Amino acid sequence: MEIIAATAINGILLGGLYACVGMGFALTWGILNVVNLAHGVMVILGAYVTFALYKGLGVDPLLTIPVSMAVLFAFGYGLQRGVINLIVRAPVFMTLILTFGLEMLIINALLFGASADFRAAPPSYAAAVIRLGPFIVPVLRLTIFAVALLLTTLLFLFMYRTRRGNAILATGQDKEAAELVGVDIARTYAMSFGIASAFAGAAGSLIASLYAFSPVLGGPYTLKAFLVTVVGGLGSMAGPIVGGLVLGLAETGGSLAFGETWVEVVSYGLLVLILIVRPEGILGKKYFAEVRN
Amino acid sequence: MTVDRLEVMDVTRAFGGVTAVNGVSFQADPGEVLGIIGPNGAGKTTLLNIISGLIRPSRGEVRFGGTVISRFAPHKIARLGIARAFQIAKPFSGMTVRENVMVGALYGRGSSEKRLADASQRASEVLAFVGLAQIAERRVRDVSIGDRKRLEFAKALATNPKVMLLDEVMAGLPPAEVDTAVALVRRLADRGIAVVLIEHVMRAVMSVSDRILVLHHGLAIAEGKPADVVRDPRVIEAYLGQRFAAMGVRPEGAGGA
Amino acid sequence: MRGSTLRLAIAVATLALFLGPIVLDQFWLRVFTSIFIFAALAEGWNIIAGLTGYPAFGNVVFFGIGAYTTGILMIKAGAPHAAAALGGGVVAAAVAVVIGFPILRLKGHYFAIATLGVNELIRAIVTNWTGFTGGGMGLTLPIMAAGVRGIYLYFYYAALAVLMASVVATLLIVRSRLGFGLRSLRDDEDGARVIGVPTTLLKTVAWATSAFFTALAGGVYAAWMTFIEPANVFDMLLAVKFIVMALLGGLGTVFGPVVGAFVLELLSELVWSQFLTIHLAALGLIIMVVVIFIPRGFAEFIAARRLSLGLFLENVRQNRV
Repeated sequence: MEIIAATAINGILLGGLYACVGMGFALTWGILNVVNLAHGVMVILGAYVTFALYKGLGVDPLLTIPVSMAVLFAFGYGLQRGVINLIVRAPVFMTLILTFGLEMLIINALLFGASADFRAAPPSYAAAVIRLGPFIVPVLRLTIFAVALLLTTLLFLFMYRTRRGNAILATGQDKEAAELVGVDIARTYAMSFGIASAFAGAAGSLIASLYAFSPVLGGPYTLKAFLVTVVGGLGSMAGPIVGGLVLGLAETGGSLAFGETWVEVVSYGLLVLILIVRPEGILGKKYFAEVRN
Repeated sequence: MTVDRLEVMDVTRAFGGVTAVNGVSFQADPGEVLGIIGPNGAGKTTLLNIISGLIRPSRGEVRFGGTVISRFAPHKIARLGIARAFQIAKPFSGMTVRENVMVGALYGRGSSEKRLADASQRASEVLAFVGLAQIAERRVRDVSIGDRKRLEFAKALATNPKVMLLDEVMAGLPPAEVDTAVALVRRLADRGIAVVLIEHVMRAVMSVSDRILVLHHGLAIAEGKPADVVRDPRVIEAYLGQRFAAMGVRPEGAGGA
Repeated sequence: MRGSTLRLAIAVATLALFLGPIVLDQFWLRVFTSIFIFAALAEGWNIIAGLTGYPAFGNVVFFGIGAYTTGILMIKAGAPHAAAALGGGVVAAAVAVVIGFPILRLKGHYFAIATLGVNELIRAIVTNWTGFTGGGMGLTLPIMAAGVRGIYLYFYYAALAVLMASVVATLLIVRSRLGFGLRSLRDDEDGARVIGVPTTLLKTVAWATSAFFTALAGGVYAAWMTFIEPANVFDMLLAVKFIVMALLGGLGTVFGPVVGAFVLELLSELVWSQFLTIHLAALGLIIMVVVIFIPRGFAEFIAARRLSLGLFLENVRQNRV
């Protein structure tokens, strides 16, 4: 019984991290209608920024988050204006291929510049634990969960309480209407992508503090972002949160039930199952994923 | 003669809180032209969508030749002989005019047109019938809006139907072309096809229909010969409001798209 | 290109490929075998994505299924290669029919992603089912009993045969009642349904056909390499490569994907040999350029009969914000 509870707690904490990984991805898909296959490598880029500061200046990885977010924001903004912009209205699979090509480019650049060695940036309190009632919880995981929650709340406030945020939401819902009321679409798209990238960067920092990473993990993290977004659903900001929690629980639960190696099967099985049974996801709006019957 | 009769029986369809079609019943027999009129949003297109099988009715059923077809797949309904021309003409953009019509010939009612050569032949006949023969080899993107409407019509006709559901095929046409369209509808009826015609162009629908059904807010508020329906106070009220109904004004040429 | 010129060009090219081994050395035999396999994959993808309009991003799953089925049949049932490969094709087609049922109902991004999910799922299953498939350690297939040159020739012609079969199948489809149905549902699925096209049936047939040829290519690949593992036959990089080949040549045309395969694979070989350390990046860049500037592929230039900067820019203008 305790094992199950511990597994559940771990799953939830992991879920917070995954929600962060998926948030940016969901934003790009929901607002620009672009499925960014390079999202995972952008997470890894954030991890590298953190690693550089950690290794070079000895900064606590969680404190590097503002920096990794800023760097990735600039990167994403420029990328969108320069490249992604060019195929925003192209058919679906074109954007998939473009971002895949981009992913290849970035991974190769990273392999070239930083090598395939696994890196990590564990903070000093990485091994510390705290007692919560009958459970022992690692402080780091708890902190990460709190940070993820904080970032998500900030994003929520930004989107719903500021003009820029509202402009982004409006553009996502109806581009033409937004344009008619004076929203600068190109700028809004760039801003959205920048924010999405910043979130990827933050997720990367969190990951660097917790796990070892390397450029080759770009793909798997993109797939996690997929899962989070599809399971949680598009059209609602709480979607990635729910999706993240489900994925976190599925992974820890699956690991407990079937063993570490079958976790992948559980994850992808979940993705396919959701798409078959309820493509719009748990909290998603139906019009994003209409189904033909 | 119920062999090829289309029967709509107490059909209702709700979308969430909105009841688009509310207990509508009517029938159409071979050779008849039934015009359906009503203000915008009256549920006319939804009704056609239900008959063609794109939507299921919430209640009620649709029968053709005695068989209940309400739950049939759209392509099966087409193969039984009920053809549909859409309001917004969406031809198959990657094909020529002829090829568009050939799809109807290949997949419509009756298996005799399974060979491409036969289908091409039938397409030629249909294109000649609707007056598009001279642009048969043109790509659809180079075809004018008016011709696209005729193409929509031709595609449906190529399926060798017993019933044709026409959704505002005359909207936006200049008067001369409206007359041509009216003549076309008449010729269809003469061939024994039952035509169900949604229209806003009043003089056209009044002149060509044998009977008229008036829909308003999803309800059938009147049915009968054109001359009678036009004088029905409920119809006048629906189109022009209560004041005009009280004044006894007739909606001639009113409600034009 | 006029019809008769095109036909002549194709006839000459086919003859040249058949007679090629007379003059080609082993290096080039290998290169061409690789090209034929990719071309078959591109043609296979074209059937579901180009003719039918359903871009199955994860279609490579059938390549993997074909490869593994072939391997397993040869090892466990002692089947001869050709029979095993055909078995792979049949299994893949059956899988396409089964998953097509729920998945072909999805539209746009969701369909593409579902196919990606299926690929990853099957890859994960194969990786874990060690007893049956050899798991992550891979599967070793028996080597042909023939001399070195004999082996090279066998696979050259086997791959060429699969390619030609896929091209002939595409040709037959395009000129048939099925082809008309597919093109109509690609352009307007609801419009097709109301004039009698049984769209669900046709889509499924198209996908099963696509899966069949993709799997055949996998069956040839597996026996050729004599070693397969989940990571390299369920590989998304492979998937993207043959998708880009189909795009480059012209999606929806009959010969476009084959041309695209030749061009991109020869380019790939060049890049690999010259820029080994950054070949991934170079390939990535090529892919991005193709998608941005030549989304409709060479076929567009052939149809427009010209090659101008304006065409490239026009493509960009159409797809940008």
